Amino acid sequence: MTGDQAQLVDPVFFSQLDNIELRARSVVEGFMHGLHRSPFVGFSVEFNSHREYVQGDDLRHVNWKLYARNRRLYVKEFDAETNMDVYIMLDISGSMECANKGRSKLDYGSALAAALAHLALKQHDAVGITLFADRVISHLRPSAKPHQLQEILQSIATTKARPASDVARAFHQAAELAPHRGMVVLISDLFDDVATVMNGIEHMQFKNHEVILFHVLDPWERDLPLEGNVRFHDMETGEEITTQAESIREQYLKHVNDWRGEMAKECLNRGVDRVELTTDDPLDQALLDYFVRRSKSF
Amino acid sequence: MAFVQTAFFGAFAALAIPIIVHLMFRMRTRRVNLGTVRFLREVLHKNARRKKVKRFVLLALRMAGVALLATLFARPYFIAQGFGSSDRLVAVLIDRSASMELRAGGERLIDQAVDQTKTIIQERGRNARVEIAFFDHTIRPLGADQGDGKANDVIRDLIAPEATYCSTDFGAAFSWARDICVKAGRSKKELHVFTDLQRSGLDWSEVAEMPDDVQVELHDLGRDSPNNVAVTAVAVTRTLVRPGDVSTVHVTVSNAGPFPLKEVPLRLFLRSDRRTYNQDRQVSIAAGGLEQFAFQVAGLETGLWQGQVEIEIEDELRFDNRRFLALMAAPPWKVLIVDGQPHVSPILSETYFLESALRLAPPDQTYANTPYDPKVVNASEVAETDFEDYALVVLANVEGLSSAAAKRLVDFVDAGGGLIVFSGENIDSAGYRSFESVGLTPGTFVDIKQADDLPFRMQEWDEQHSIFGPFNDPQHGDLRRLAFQAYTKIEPSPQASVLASFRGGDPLLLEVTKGQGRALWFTSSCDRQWSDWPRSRLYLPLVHQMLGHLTGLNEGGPVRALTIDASSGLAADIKPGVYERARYWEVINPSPRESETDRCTPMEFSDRFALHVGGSNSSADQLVAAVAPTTVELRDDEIWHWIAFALVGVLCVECFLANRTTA
Repeated sequence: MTGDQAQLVDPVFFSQLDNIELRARSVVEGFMHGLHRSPFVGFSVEFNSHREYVQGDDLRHVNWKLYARNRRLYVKEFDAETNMDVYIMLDISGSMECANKGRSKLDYGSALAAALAHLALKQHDAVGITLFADRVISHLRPSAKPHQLQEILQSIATTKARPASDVARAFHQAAELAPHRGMVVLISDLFDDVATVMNGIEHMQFKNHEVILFHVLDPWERDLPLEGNVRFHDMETGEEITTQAESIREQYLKHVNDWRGEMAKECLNRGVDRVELTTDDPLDQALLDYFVRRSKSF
Repeated sequence: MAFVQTAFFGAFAALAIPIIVHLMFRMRTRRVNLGTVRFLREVLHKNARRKKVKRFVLLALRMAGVALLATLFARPYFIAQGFGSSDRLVAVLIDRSASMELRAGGERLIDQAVDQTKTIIQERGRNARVEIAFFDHTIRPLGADQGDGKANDVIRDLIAPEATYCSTDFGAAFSWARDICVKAGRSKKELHVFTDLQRSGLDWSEVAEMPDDVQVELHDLGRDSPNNVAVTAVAVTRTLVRPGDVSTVHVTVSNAGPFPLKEVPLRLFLRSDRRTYNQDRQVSIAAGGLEQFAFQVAGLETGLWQGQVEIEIEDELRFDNRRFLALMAAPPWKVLIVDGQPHVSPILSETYFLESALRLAPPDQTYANTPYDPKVVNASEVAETDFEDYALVVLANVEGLSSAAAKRLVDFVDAGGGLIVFSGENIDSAGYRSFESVGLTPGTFVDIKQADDLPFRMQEWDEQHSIFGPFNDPQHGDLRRLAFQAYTKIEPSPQASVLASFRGGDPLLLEVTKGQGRALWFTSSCDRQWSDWPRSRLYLPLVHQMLGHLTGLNEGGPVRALTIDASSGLAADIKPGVYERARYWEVINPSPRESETDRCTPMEFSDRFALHVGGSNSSADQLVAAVAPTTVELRDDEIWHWIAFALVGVLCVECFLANRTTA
């Protein structure tokens, strides 16, 4: 684990995030005014539709021009803009401790979670974090309180990694812990069957959450740039396989690429934003690129 | 299957090497953490079992390679045949060298050996096989007694040789006995060796490795200090002398007996076709002493003189009381040199240098000891010349001969005469057509090759040939330094031997055999017209070597001495004497080593041949010894080459499999 929450906060990186917004693509159920569309119709800024006047409606919203033409009273309805609940789910299973290029996936994912939490809180969204491995290990409910970032960082920094991983089970548990529709940010290496993973994601989508998947991999896991006789150690199961890396690289890459391609395809089919990152990717640049790309889609 | 070098089985310990390498390969891995190895597992799952099998096959192949290598050096061979139901082998080696003619108790040693062997045959147990062989420098096996009740036939056939003149070689005897014992498989094996333990036999003999389960029983039949006087050496200062010249015969006589010799007659006897020559002297030799004496031989007429030097004494070994010798009294070989390009100035004629080289003296002078007597004639005089008067004919740049002269010359060569042809600008194929029709030319005359800038030089020659033998020593001159400005290019025929060639492969010296004679063709000239060769210090020796090859001087001359031993290549039953061969005489004498009656002790014998003494059980210092191995020469029935093929096959399969077994 990171050990020190201060390490999760890069002031320079956070200052760069101040200029972007984390917008929900779908409606979210906030109760405060914010950036995101709300399922609740109110009298806010953006016009939605007209309806017939009923007793008790505010006369300020009556469309008098329409009354002049039709001789009937209609009131204007506007979309309410509200804040949203952002559920950050961070995988802390043993496989996330893989650190062949100096930085573990868990460190990378923790920094990513901290940055997202900072971003959400900056725009007054409620943000919570769920740490999971073979199940949900800890859960911090979303909140927009000013000290929520500190609690999130504390939660990340103090929780120890678990050896086993059961993504599906953890996703189902996490989905039950997120009652309000909002945004779920998954940070994991997702070393599980694609169908199982998608089953968990569908559960969240069933709860009307928008799901963003940050797929974090170690570069050696993805490319296997090794030579010679290597004893590969599975960080979750402890299984060891000895082989000559260069002899199986081609087939290994085929299997990994097939898996990645299938994961990307299934995410696309379900409208899940999937961002693949490796621990040697500059986190700030990768995140900024994603958010810029995402903002253009609105 | 049995093995010649069982010590190499220790190399099987090297089987651990591939195992260690295999384990080290598995241990020398770097550890890499991965979040999951499921993809690796998927990759390896399909071929995991097959690759595991491959790895073990690879290990097995490597171990097989090491085992085959060890087996290869152990030199296996198949046991050709077994002994059926025989459960005991009795092998008998009987020394039949010349020294076994010695008598003890009025009976020759070899007779005693045969008698004792007959006793062994009669007393052998049931199911015992007896193998018997006489040995000197060769092994002469007799028929085997299979233990089937035919012992009487074997005893009847076992007869001691009447007289032997050969030296002793224990190596050949032990090699034969070893083969017999190995073929006996698990039978109980005994080896009886009947010998006189001559110390001289210890010096050069080699023994084969004897299986450890062979009981060697050494029957020492010899006697200490026998009374033997021997003529151990006869050396003639010159075996080829001029008629009437003086030659000296040096004689070495040894007295191995315990008493000195006083005034014993030593006689030199020589005879030719028409006359005899005798010379006697009285010699005295101390006990155990060795003395040299000289006979001055003078006034021998032309012809071969053969005879012997004999010491007239009644001793116990008679075979070495005389040695044979021969001398050839003859004038120099007459050499007819036909000059194809005579000149009024002798020094400019074609044959000036050649004639001087053969005469070995300046003009108008003579050298008595030159082996050749050259006579120069012009080509026009050949028709009137009788070749029979000459031993050699040299054609120096002769344009051609008349068909009658050519026919006579061909007949001359066919009858054993020697011919040397030196080339020159006059030589072409037309002039030698008559030679060509009878196969006396070395090939086809192509043209004359002239050097443009750099001269032609000799590049290769037959170093084994008697002409070029002396030039193998670089201190005798470098033939590559000879420079030639021109030569006649000849395409050699299949019948011709190319003895020397220029750079580029064109022949310089060729040899053609015709009947009993030989012809040498030198494709350059013997004068300075085509080369600087005559001015070289190599001119005279090379010319003499060429003529010496045709006259037999290079091989030892008309009289050649040989000693009966393993290296001489003589037939095993040959007797000493003077034998006429095709163009020379051979003087054959027994090896002087056999005259040395000094004996070794059984312990020295066992030490020399690395025997482990097991005991003594006979009346004459017999002992039982187990033979320890030393070395052996290559056997005919070894199968190491098949093992080598198998090893190469295993290595090829290993390479093939190793390149495809990576994970």
